[in-house]
Amino acid sequence: MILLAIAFSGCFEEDCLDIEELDQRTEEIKLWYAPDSIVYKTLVDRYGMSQTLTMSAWNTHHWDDIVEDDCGNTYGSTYFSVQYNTSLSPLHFMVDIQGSGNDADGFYLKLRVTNTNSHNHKSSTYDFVTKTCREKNARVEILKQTDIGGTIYDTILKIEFDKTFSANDVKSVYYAKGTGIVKYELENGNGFWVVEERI
Amino acid sequence: MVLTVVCITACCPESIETDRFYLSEQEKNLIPCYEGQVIAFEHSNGYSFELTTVSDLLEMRKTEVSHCGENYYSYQVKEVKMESDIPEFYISATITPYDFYPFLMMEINRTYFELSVHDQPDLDTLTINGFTFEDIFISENHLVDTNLIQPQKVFYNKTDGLLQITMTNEEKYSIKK
Repeated sequence: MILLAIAFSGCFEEDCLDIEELDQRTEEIKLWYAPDSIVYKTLVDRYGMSQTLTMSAWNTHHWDDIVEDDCGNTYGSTYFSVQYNTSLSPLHFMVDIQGSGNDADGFYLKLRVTNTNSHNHKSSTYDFVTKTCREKNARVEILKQTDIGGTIYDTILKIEFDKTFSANDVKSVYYAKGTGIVKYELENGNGFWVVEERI
Repeated sequence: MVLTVVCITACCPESIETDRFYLSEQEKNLIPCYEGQVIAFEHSNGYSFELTTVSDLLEMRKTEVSHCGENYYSYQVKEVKMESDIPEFYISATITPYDFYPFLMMEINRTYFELSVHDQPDLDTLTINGFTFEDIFISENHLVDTNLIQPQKVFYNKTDGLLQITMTNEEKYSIKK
């Protein structure tokens, strides 16, 4: 039975890689990278109290030829990551953006949030192809022309987690295309947003 | 391998307590907080919130032993933890016997302060939110990264405990009596 299945599957011809489409998607995800020219972002909460969101550990990498089709095409993978820490709240954010010719990886933005006091952590992955959340643990939404802290952001990915662990747990995160995290909201109703950026 | 482990264990002399330090009643009172106590605070922009003492601990601890057979001291510690929801503060105040360590340690969201509460106060009086406090101790963290908005200075007295936190951007969190 297994042999039959293997023989049967061997008869299928895989579609050729659509290089043009992959190139287009790769260029598109690169537009989501956060610039490494900004290090410090001043956050203010809804009660007017401030803290700093520090960006660090930018990492970009490209691998060639990680997938090959039967038509003689090959395609690579492109990876970006950046980390954020808050100066007063015990929060750490990590954002990974990856684009790959390998269907299993695809094109995605993964957000990880860790409370460094409780060590609770959660993550959610937005799939740029299906435009959905892969884990089913959050709702994702693309917001257009959104005013946050007096700045109009053209495109924002809002990730809203279904579950929170405490009143101070992160409920939703706003990631602006080409800018990075610009706002987050907590379960207790408080929210922090960027009002100033510094090198 | 097992023999080696057994030998090392067997050859390791037992650690001995060489001294023991207890807090005096006066030292215990240097942190005038008790579990369940709620203290009103206010941010410099007027936002009011409560700082709650979530634990009040008195226990014996031992100095760390990093080598086989090394001797240790025992010392009594009073540790009080305070928290608030908005803003999200996690504060601990720790006092040990003067002969063991002569400072009151305060940690505010991973920033550390040493208060010389056994010395003379830094200020005779300080008026905060219309109330005048006496005998003020001040500690400033000179290692704090001023690029970040973090606690930079604390004001404290023996009667009321934590009175004020000054941030690197001049924002203040102050007791409200």
